[in-house]
Amino acid sequence: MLCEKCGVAPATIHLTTIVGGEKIEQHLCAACCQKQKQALTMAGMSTLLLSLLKGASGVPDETVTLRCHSCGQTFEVFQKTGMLGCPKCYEVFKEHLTPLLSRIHGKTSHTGRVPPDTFEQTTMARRLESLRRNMDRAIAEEDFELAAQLRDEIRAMQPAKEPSSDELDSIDNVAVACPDDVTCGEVSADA
Amino acid sequence: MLDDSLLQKASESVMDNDVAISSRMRLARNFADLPFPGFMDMEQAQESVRRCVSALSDTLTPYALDKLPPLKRMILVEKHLISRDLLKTPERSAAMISSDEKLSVMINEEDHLRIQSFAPAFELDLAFAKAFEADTRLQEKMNFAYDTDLGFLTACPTNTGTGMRASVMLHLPALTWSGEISKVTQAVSKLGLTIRGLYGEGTEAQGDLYQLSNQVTLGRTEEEILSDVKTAASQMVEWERRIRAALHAGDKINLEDRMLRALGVLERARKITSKEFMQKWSAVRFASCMRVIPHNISVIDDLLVSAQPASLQSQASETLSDEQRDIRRAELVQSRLKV
Ligand SMILES: [Zn+2]
Ligand SMILES: [Zn+2]
Repeated sequence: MLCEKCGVAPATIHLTTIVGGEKIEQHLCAACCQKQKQALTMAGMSTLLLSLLKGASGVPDETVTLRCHSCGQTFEVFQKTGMLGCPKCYEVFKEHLTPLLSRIHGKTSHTGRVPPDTFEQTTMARRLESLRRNMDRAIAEEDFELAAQLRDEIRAMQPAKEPSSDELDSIDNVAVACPDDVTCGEVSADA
Repeated sequence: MLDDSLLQKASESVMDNDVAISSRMRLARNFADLPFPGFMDMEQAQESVRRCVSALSDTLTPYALDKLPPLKRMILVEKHLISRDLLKTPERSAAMISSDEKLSVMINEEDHLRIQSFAPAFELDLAFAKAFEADTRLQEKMNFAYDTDLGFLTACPTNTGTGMRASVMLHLPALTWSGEISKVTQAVSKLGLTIRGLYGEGTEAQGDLYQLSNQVTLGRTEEEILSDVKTAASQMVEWERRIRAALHAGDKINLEDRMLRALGVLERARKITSKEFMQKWSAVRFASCMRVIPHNISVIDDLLVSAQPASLQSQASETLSDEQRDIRRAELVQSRLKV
């Protein structure tokens, strides 16, 4: 019998798979069977996740007893099934989920759509985050004038209860030492 | 007379379905105050169904899966309106489906809600807009599990963030037959995307049909993900077209021989199994795209659902044996392929 895929080589392998409740029998040559196995590696997400979970051998023993108080799911069971029990699990297992999320998605922070009720809060948080990043960059580039300006913007956005960070104070000193008409490069960099 | 390039442009926009068969969007959402479906008791499962039905019944028709005859359930699966997984717990799950079958919501599958929208060919934008329209409507009425850092929370961390999966169903006979498909797989995985055989995970792509979709759901916006998938899909469409042309130019006789033999089987065989059908179907579809045969591509595409087991059974008055079903399949295919 010839291989039914290529029709060239003799069929040496008899393969049975169940697809959609229908039994499928194939008679393949070794080469075509190999190709078929390659197709296997194109499997879906859950397979990927489970392989990542299996590979995560560095997970410390204490995770065995880590249990979500809300739904009862344990991290141990999650490692086997890839399924969390409830939204609270994300908080309970956070420490161990973060590296996993990073391996799956390459990132650990959502940047997409937000529910309508958290919209204002989230856009504010994202704006703050981007202002902070820009400020850090300005400091690194020693553009203290811009940094001071960004600091003021951040302060204006922040609620009064949040104390200003050390970082913000340190710029304050720089800004004082840096009059508008002096280029910031002239201020000592260790400020 | 029409300018040649104009004519070509017009035919290309219509003929985008030569490689891209359909587009699909899926959004995973969960209620903030209920455990994920796998951890719900019966009461919570019913509560989840109740909420969805009351929020959506003005536009979608609810289907209680345990009250639906098994055959009807399978037809929904063959039309991709619901997943096989949803049928594992019919007494706890439900589906809501629009009258045009372009939008469906699976309730209590892996997540509380799986909003799905479908569009023809490469109209992923349309599917995208429809899914988010439904999502927006739902979010006016209910609170979904959401975390400022992680976005929309899902039962499996592979969907967390946007909860979005955008996919395009691609017919890639030339890439498959030439063996180039393994390069495609590698290229795609580097882009945070994935490609797999459409019919069943872990088996070869029956009918040379593949689903290209995003793998990453966290840290990219919905628009970025959409654009990632669209870019990759259009590259694959071009890639497949190039190889199709190359195969045809390189060995016309053998390629057309393979195509026409496939047509011969579909037009003449007295019985045909689902597996053989998918094989020949792919070659015949390829032939139609290359204008080797006069058959209209939409006729061929329609067969993809109507020749599936449950659809065939639904047309019969008595329960069909495997052989009877294969006979019915051959009859159906022949009646549809008459030019
Ligand atoms: Zn072979
Ligand atoms: Zn939990």
